[in-house]
Amino acid sequence: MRPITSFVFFLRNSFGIIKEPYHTYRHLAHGDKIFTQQTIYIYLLVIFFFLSSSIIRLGMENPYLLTVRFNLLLFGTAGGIILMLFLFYLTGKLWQVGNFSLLRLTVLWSYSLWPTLLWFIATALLYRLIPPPRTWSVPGGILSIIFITYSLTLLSWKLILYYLTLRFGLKLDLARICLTQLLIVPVVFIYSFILYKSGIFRIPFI
Amino acid sequence: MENDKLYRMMVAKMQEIAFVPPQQMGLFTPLYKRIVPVFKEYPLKSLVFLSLAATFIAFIVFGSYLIRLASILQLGAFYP
Repeated sequence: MRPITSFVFFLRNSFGIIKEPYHTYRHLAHGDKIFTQQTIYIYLLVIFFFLSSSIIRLGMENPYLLTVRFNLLLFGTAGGIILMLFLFYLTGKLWQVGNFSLLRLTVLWSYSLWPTLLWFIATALLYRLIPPPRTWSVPGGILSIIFITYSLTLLSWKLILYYLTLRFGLKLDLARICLTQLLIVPVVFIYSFILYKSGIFRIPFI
Repeated sequence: MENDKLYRMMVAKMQEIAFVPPQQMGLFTPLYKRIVPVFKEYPLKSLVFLSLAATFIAFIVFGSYLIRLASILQLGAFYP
């Protein structure tokens, strides 16, 4: 697939997961050809975000620290994505899913990075524009309510995309998806705790 | 008929729709089928409304703890 074509696919599907996530995910999962090239753009956006946020936070005075910081963020994120794909693979094995396709799951899970990326961008911008802590005042309360609402909305959107990844990527029904959480949630929790203790992410970029 | 473009498109669409079997939840299936369509198209509209309602309730219940939570989250999702 040519870069311009994959970029058009990427844009169309990115708007699709806002407008009609169910139909977009079903369309992405259906069909014999899985166009993985389209997901490159979201990973480029993630890399650009980590690079710019590292520069904004640390400045350009210490290139060594900047490189270490950037690489830690990148490895933390890559580890999370690989871990999730591995857990999906295990889930596929557990439920003996026929016609298992790791490429299909990769494409579906990659699009679910949009809510995560948007939340991290907003948090990084707010950190610069209106630095915390918030106070117990009218403007502080209003901003907190707006920020928590924004966070909850993106979290719910992320959960919908996560559900659709399991639904269309592995063709699981709701009961099996709920049972699968007994496997996925503890592992993700442990990974998040490791990232927290390692001083990489307070909230995992998954 | 199989050469008809519209026919082929409709067949492809039907195959896509039947990609996963319909969700069955026993007694809860009718309830599920009433709730889920809200989230199939423009889910963000419903999600913003629900999140706002949840935040207001949390604000009434937890008060200053919610402001502290906003500060913690805003401190940055990652270090330093």
